[in-house]
Amino acid sequence: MNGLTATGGVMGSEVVDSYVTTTLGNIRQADLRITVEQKEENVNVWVWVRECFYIGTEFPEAVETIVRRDVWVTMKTGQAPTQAEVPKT
Amino acid sequence: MANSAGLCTSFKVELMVADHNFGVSSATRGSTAADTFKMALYQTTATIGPSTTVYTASGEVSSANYTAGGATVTNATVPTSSGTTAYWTPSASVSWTTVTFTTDCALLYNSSRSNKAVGSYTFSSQTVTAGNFTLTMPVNAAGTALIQIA
Repeated sequence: MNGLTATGGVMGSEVVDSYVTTTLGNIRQADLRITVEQKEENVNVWVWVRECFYIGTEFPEAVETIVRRDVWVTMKTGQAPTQAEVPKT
Repeated sequence: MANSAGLCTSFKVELMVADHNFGVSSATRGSTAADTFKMALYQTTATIGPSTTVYTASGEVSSANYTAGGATVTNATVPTSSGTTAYWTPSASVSWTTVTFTTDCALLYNSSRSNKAVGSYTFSSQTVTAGNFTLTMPVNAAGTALIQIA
């Protein structure tokens, strides 16, 4: 469907060792709230984003902040649309 | 100014003088291997676009695990055509692991030919934080391929 499924190996490896590399260092996956969301879709691209929010207790100042953000940009077409193809807003 | 998308005008001219080789042989240049193409990422404040003629480090993203100049694209697919459209697409995604930056543009360029620019590709501003950035290529077909000459 998109680049997320095509490149999901990173997620898989994290499940095995249960730790995720973040701005706080390696954090247990159980201490993260992970969301995956499509952020953009237009005539040229899909953009999917995975955000990891810290919910542990070791770093109270970081609770509910994003400690890791992954981005997948999947190009639908390499050509920029002509003016006639740009959707009117 | 901001980043904008499109094939670089200089690239169109350079095609006419056999400056780029996406395939495995070029009778005109006498080479038997394709050129090496790379992709670099740019900050939202950069001015990459169809008027770009060559790779520049100005405005390029900076991060641990990101090398200036970007990454080499995998090229295992020779250019081909369908109907009246010739096209080519890298054969694999381009990705960077454990990086932190904000970008909205990628520049494809020919590192075998003095870093001559090929095309720029834009998307909405995206921030990566201690994570992975993956640029997945479109389907290699007329109407969707990364480079199309119709």
